[in-house]
Amino acid sequence: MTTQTKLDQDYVVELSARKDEPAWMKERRLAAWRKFQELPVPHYERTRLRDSHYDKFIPYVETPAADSWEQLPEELRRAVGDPEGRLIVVQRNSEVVYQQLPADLPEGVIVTDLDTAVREHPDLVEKYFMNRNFPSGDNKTVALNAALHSGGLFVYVPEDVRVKTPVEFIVWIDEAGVGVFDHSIVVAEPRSRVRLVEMALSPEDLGKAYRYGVLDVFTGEGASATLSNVQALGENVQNLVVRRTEPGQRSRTDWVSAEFGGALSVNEIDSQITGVGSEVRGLGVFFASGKQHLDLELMMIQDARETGTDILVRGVVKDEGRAVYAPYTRMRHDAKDSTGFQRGNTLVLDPTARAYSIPQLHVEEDEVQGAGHAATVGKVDEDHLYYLRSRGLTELEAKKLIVDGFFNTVLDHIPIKSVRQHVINLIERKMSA
Amino acid sequence: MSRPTLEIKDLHVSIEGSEIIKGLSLTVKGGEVHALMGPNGSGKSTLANTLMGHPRYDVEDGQVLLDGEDILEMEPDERAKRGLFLAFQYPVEIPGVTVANFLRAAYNALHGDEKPLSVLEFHQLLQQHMKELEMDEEFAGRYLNEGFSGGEKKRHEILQMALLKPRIAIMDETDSGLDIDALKIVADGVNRQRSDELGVLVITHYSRILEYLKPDYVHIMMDGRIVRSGGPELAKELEEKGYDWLREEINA
Repeated sequence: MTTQTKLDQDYVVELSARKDEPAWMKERRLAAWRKFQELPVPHYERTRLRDSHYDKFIPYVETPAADSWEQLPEELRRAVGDPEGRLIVVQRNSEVVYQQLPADLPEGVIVTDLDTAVREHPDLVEKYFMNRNFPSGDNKTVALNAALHSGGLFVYVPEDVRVKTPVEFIVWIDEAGVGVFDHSIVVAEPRSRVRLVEMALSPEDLGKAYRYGVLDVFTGEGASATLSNVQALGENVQNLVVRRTEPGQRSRTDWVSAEFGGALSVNEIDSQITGVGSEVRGLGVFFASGKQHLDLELMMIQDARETGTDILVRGVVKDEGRAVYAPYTRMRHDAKDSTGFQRGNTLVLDPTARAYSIPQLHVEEDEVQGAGHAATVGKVDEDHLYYLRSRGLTELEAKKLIVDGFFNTVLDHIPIKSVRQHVINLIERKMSA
Repeated sequence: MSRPTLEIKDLHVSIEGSEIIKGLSLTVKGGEVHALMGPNGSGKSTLANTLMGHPRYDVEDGQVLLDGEDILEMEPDERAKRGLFLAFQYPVEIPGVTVANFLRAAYNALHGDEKPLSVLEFHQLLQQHMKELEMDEEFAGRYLNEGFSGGEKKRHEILQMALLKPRIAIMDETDSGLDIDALKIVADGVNRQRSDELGVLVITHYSRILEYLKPDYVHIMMDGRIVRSGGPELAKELEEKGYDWLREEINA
């Protein structure tokens, strides 16, 4: 059932009551709601957001839970593939509707949806939900998500525990007009290891829909977290997502982002690095076609000694697609003996497509170990095309091979095989369209 | 397969308005090896790339017929599908594309219809050809021409020729930058392919490679034209007397 609801403070209170939430959660929703109203729209250099990007959605739709994998929509099952042996949590529109956990999940590990976590692990959620002042500032997208959140993933890995199976969180949107507010929290205690694969998908012919997602990551000392996301929503869907971490000392964080879908998509990934010796890598691929506008914003703030950041992004634009690659690295005064690198390359396949590359690197510490950035935007080399075509490949076949090769050097670094394969399939689909 | 014929008739080619080839005619048939020799700047590479269909060269006049069909309006891949092949003087480097993937795509583009090969069958075919050219197995996994030595690049061109089985092959200064051992391997690779179903046009600056390839005809190109044609003895004469001898004779 979907009804157009008037969105105000009363609605937020009612949503919280309907979910039977404790008072602290209601208060945090309300605080976020107030913030949402006060805050200006986020400023992104080449993506102009307006208030109208925040007021068109239906805030909640009822979605029945699926008792088995077979009860999920066929298109979703096909996109995700054989579920056997995997750890999968599926959110469909407003609710998490399906979860399957492997039998050998180590003791103490929690994987569930956020609503359930609020009921079953209130202390943990209270500790981690919207409870840190993120130095990069408040964000309207985050505030809206925190006020209206529904569904979302909660992962908790105790000290010294390594979770072998990647945690796969599927966000499936198949109701036109819906606003989806998945708020996910991943906690990796000291020396633990966790790998997340988030996939945002929808039927290709879905009408307009609006996703405002948040992922908050907490890694303890010496922990390791791999945080992948594959965004392949339909080309009418608006996707605004903020992901952030403040990793502990000598921890390792790997962001992997694949942006392929959506009408307008902004994927902001913020790493506030205050833990001595921690390393954060940002790996990204994007492919904007049709009339898509994709924006990948990667922010690395290095505020501690011996930290290392490395950004490696490759993207393609074709048709009338637009893409923004905006890495931002700031090595503050305390970032002695640290390294900060950025590399980004965009390939422009058609003269009607546009690519914006806006790298920023600010080094405030005198004694860094190394820092640098390189960014290129270019079209397919005429001589490369000629060489391949002289061997019998048509222009399209030649371009496909060149694009595959262009992405290959980054795909080799994607640490999870299934993600890599998914991305390869998406590239193939885009090149064949 | 019939015996191929490539006919170049009174070809005029310019680049950005300046004429490089000024009326060139030449016929290459299956079973024949023609050598086209000439000093730098005589238009040899322009001819090679015009025949293959490089978009930067403008054909002002003349015809190029492959088995009687004019190919000048065709895209390079259409020419390749009719059996034309160019061994590049400077093969481009394409990072991220492996030799194996590239060669399989090319093989399928040219021969996929008549004889589709499984990945395994293709791999075996490739390994066999690589062995004949004394190429290491790991070569197939490397990125296209990236970090290849001069010799590896040229061997890779001949590998493609062996695999793709063209009807007319143009070799553009394949000998340049090769030491004597690599030169022999490359020449042997070409000699193995010689048959009535393959015509070869060897473009070279030096007569060295011709000792191994043994052309049936030798043509000297200067200033955009063929100024003299003859048998193998012409290459010898040229080696002894140099291009200046011919230049003086023509101007006289």
